[in-house]
Amino acid sequence: MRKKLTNLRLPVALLALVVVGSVLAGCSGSRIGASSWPGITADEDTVYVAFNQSVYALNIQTGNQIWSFPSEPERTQFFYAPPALTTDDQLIVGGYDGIVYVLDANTGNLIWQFTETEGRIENGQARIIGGPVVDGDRVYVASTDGNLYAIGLTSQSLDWTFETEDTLWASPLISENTVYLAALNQTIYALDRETGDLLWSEQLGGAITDAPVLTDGHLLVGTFGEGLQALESANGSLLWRFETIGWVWGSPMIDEGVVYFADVTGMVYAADLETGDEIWRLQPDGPITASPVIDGDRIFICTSEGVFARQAANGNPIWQIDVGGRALSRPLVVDDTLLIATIESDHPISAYNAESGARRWPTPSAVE
Amino acid sequence: MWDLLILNPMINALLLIYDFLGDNFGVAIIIFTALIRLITFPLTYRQQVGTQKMQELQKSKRWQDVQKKYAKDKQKLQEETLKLYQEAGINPLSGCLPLLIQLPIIFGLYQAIIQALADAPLQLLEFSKHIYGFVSSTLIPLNSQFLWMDLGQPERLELEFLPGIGIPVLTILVVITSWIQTKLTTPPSPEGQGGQMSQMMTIYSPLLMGYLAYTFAAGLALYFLVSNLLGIVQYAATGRINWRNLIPFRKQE
Repeated sequence: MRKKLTNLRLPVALLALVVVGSVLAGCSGSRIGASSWPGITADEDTVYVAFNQSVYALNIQTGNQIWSFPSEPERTQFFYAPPALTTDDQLIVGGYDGIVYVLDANTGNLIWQFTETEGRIENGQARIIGGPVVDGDRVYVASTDGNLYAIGLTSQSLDWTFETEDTLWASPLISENTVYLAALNQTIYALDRETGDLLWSEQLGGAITDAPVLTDGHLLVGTFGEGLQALESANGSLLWRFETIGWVWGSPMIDEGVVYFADVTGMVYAADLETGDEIWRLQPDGPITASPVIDGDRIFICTSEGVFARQAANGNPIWQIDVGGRALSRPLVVDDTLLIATIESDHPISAYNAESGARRWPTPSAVE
Repeated sequence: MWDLLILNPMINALLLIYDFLGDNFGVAIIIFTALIRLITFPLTYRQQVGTQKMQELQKSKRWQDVQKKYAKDKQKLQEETLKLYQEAGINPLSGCLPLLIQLPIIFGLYQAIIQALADAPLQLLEFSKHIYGFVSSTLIPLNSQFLWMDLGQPERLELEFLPGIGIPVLTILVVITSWIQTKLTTPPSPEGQGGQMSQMMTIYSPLLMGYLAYTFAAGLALYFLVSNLLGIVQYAATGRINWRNLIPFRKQE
């Protein structure tokens, strides 16, 4: 009996090793599962979705899948950045492997790929988190390696690179002659659009995760801990700052002199664009990372608890729906269809009647 | 409950230390580990005293007699052994307590490090839920660089003259310090079951720690290393340490 007990010690010690290892591996589960929310883009007929190991196209009317890329998901390939469409039906996709994929938007076939953006960095694999931005014959891609890449679409080569010491999560914003680039490490840069030369940069004091928005010389930037800031677009000087309760994750939305934005505590704000004075605030339910979307006199707000339609003028309720998962991506409105992307749901993309909130279609996961 | 009692206090303590020390997460982990060691010292001390008492008891003639007398009657042997423990004022489970306290700290710290050094949107969003209102959000993103390592990634030192080869320096140090700590703090056991168990602990404990240090984030390995070093220092401070036990193949004193 004593001998038997002694013999059990080794398996018990090994079991303890496995248990501790498994629990710690479980703690890092987010690295194995989804590490972001779906990125979506649409034209008038098709919605393009980048989520987990696939990029796929769905018919907006029916929700039927048109194509999926790659044909067989690969263990190391993940996509979350909203794809960008060119006028000649190319779909530009940024991967979590740091590679830029150029697909045929009609078939999903790979046309070419840009691998100079790939590579390991000190913080691990370089990733493309913010969506690429198409500007004529050029696409701008911000990478977590700290570089903004300006890539010629015809030449399939690098026009210029702007190097920072920062981590870039946000898409760049392209204006007439300037590219605005916001870094997670709290800095915003203004670059010459043709050459990529630095025009000015400002430290905003809070992390920036989404692209700035420009209107009437006001450059609006959401930050972590330093609220929403309005900067002079010409030189980056502060015009006004709106203090928020939580982190402002998504880009603000501007409509008729009013700026709408939200924070991760779930608070939605409307403020005067010129002065930054508050017009209204409301707290639907659940954290918000997506930019609100304005459609006519309505504002659509996606939260981790559902989708809320409110009157843009005063925030009064119109309708609200449960979409079966966390809606953390920016919603899209195409004609009268509201497209919502969710995570932890059987149907990552769903379409709703923007007027009533009635569901039009669910679609099976592309992974299935 | 886990978040409320373990994870949130750990994350925020780390953030406050990080803020106070000028944005150095490595130093924050070292200070945090020292604090944890300090807080759990009374328990560790009690465990060490209990271990020493047990060691003395196992050397006593009464113990040896009981073992021999009831060698074939397992139930009676247990009853008599428990009596001896009671008479000597020893709680046989007291040795497990510091280990049981260490486990949630290890799990919590690992979660805290991974979440604090979030490198993807969902992780960062999750992290935001754990930060207390009085902790400044402007600390985000945290600086994960410490010496040559990224604390959110498994540690490897790459040298110029050894291209493509990453040396797991922290893992090696964790294995060595774990072995030293186990050797110094594990009491010599009598021959038989206790002795085998003791030997196995000396081998498997450093290997387990080394495996974890090699596989998981460098921040956790840094915690193991500092915790081991402080454990040795604490044990030395109690005056019970016998450095001769480190000599290989030498019977422990």
